[in-house]
Amino acid sequence: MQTRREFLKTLGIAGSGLILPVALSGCVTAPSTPSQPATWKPNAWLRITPENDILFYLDRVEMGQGTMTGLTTLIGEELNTAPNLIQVITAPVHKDFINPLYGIQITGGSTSIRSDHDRLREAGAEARERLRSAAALRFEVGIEKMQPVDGYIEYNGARIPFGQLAESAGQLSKPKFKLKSPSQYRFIGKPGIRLDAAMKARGTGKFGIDTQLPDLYTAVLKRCPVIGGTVKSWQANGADQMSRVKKVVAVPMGVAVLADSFWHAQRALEKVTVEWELPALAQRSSADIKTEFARLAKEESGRSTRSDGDAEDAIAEAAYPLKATYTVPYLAHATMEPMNCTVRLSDDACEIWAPTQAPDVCAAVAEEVSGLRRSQIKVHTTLIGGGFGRRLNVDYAVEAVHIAKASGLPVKLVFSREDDIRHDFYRPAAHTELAAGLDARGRITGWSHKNVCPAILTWSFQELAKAVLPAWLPDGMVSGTAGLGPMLYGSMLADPPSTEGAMEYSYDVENVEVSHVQSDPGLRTGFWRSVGHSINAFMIESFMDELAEKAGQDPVQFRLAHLSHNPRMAGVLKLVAEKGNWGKPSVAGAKQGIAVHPSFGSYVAQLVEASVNGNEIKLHRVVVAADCGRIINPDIVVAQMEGGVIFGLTAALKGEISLHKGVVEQSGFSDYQLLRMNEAPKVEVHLVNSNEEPGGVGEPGVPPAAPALANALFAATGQRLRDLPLRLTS
Amino acid sequence: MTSFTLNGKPVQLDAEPEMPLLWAIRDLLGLTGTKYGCGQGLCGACTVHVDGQAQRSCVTPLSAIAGKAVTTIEGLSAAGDHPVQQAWIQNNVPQCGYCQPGQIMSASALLANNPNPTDSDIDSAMSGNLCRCGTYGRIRIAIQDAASRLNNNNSAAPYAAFQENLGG
Repeated sequence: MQTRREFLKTLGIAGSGLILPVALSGCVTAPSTPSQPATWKPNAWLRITPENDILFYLDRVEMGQGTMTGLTTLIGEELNTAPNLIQVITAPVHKDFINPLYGIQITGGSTSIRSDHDRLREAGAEARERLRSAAALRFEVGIEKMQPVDGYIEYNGARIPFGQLAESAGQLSKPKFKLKSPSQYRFIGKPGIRLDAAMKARGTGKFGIDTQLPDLYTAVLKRCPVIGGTVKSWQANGADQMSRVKKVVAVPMGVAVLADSFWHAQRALEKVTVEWELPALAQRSSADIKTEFARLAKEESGRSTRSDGDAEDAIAEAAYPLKATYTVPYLAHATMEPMNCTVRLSDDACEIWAPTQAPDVCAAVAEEVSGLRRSQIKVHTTLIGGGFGRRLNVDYAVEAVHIAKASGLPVKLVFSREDDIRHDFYRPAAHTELAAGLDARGRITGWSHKNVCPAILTWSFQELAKAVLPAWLPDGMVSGTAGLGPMLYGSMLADPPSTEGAMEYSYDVENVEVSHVQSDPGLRTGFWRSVGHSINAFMIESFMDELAEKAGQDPVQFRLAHLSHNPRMAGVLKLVAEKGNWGKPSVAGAKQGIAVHPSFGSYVAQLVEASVNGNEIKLHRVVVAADCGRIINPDIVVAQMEGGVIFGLTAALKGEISLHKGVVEQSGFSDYQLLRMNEAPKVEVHLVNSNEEPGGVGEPGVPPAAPALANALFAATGQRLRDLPLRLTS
Repeated sequence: MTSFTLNGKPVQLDAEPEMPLLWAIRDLLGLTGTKYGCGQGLCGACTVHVDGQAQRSCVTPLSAIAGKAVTTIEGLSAAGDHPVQQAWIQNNVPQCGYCQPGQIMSASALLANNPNPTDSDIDSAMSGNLCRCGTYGRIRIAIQDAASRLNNNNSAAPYAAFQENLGG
């Protein structure tokens, strides 16, 4: 067990003042013998210096989702101190900063508020009570008269800065404390300016690609056009003689040029020729992958991931059976900041600066590639120019450490846009067979959902395992019993990402069968904003519309009739229908479509208004109703819903990654297009006032967008589009 | 050798005339507010002002800016309080924030030329700037807000007072 002092040293934050470990509520490590007291497991840190700096060590990364503002608000609320008065410092990699829902230090799965809500507020409340007690001793009056306000304890017109009380507050015994009640909230549930807005509007926020170090060279890497290929032989062809080029080096996955600028490196790299050892993926093209998926869908029954009653029988005996095949393509993340990673490596130390969602996985791969010990590796997390799940993988860190090792130079590896699109971890393509039966009154009696698609976790496991297994597994055996870990390990056994959203089919149907036929063509896959929900919500909510049509019912009423046991789903559906004037489009000639889907603990319904001119699709308006449980910052929730809609509609209208002989055919924003301002609809968001547990907000806005649009297009044209991206044919 | 002014300061740069302005600014001159997104002029993350007009620096060779005035996000205002920047902060526009310097440079050039842009003026000025986080709706609102700040001479509002309100 590490001592408190060692822990502080590791963090580099040893010093005076009040340093408060945040207790992991419910996760107190078990005493190994009855005589040993239970010890705190610190996770995040609050520090108040004698100079009255209030420092919050944020153990999550900010990639636009607003976690910096959200988590700081929780601490600030209990300290009764405005969040903008608290300095946020990104926490370094440390085992005590692990995400308790996953067992490793990652930011993903829309978990930050969900996992940190209680323990951060408790940390803030404990600090507040310590400061009040210390002030009461100083003023020699009762604690009940001590008012904490924005970094000071006030009493009778006098005030003492927190910083002057911090030292003595830290020495008091652990006080009793209560969390503020909702009527006392100053910041929770209120809109406020994002803490990261100003630096981002001024261009002063530092993203990974902005990392600057003395004698740093920019590297560009020529990789095998087929992901996974390795260097057989190569020739510099004079690249190393070009202006401002420092070095040309080979690493297992390619050849890198290091130069004074990205442009000089990229220009020289064009001269380099490489003969590649091609992986099996070089045999695969999109057309034969589609054929293979379709064959498997017919021939294989797959592994069942949910089986209620007997769906097959129910559908066979139904008055009105219906079947349909849906497909979605592979997708790239296309974050605006391309992948990059900066490494400074010496004989006994490795420092990494990376825009990553998984800093400790970076440390783990750096350990493996550099041959150093974990204690010699330091990871600095920067601002992230878009994550969306892409940066849960750490290929850029593997490559950058290899290049630093081979060159002996501090190096900033930067992907070109083409590299970024062609060397992603892609949202899996999928082929889905849906079947359902309706009884004579139009009620669904049976539902069957069979996905043919690759697994996601098999690809990430190779990286994650390095982070998790050696350093974490022994603890994991303890933590597992305290509720940690099963999300990670359970996932790895069953790969729910492929069928998530399908398994949790939420309508009242007695007979439900969900199965997964795993088929991996060899193109690496990853977590893409909302993961399996992005696939399965499109299938389910489009097919629900088909069933409503078959039953001759209104799509909203048809869904509501199957949601009597699901008030939160029904609630957002009713709200969106009301706020969006279901049945009465706001624009002449536009048609409406609707979809609702639960994910990450939240419920989101969307109503899309679109019109059609020939085969052209025009988006007018999207109305969103979201129930995300208790809300910390409503404006950030609204922003995440707005962004989720655009992200989902971009995929619905434009997103497609295809393969030709293993090579990703798309290479940039000309052939992997994103929705632009002139194409973007107006988005209106309505939030449900809820006292339920906080749900995720970063991802749940994505899944309903594609089916809501497909349903609007059916209303407009009568064409049922069952393949993404949506393309009208006339 | 290329001579130009960068954020009001004269610069003499010894680099190839075909070198894109973006990489000269970022990697040789060390100003990182201007972002790389695509290198093809398709995303707008690298937008700067050249003699007051919005331009994609990733496809602008140094030879094209000889003798001209280049402004980056760092030079848009002395204190980071250009009305467009104020509007961006007040409306919580940024999410990941990576594209926003380019968005702000496009928006400020638009408003300098057209103080009362219509929705379709905004579309044509801003559709070259991609935002993967999907902040388009807020960008539109912030541009309208900035226009009214400029037209009502609100730009002189003391930024310190504005900052005091940040905590709510």
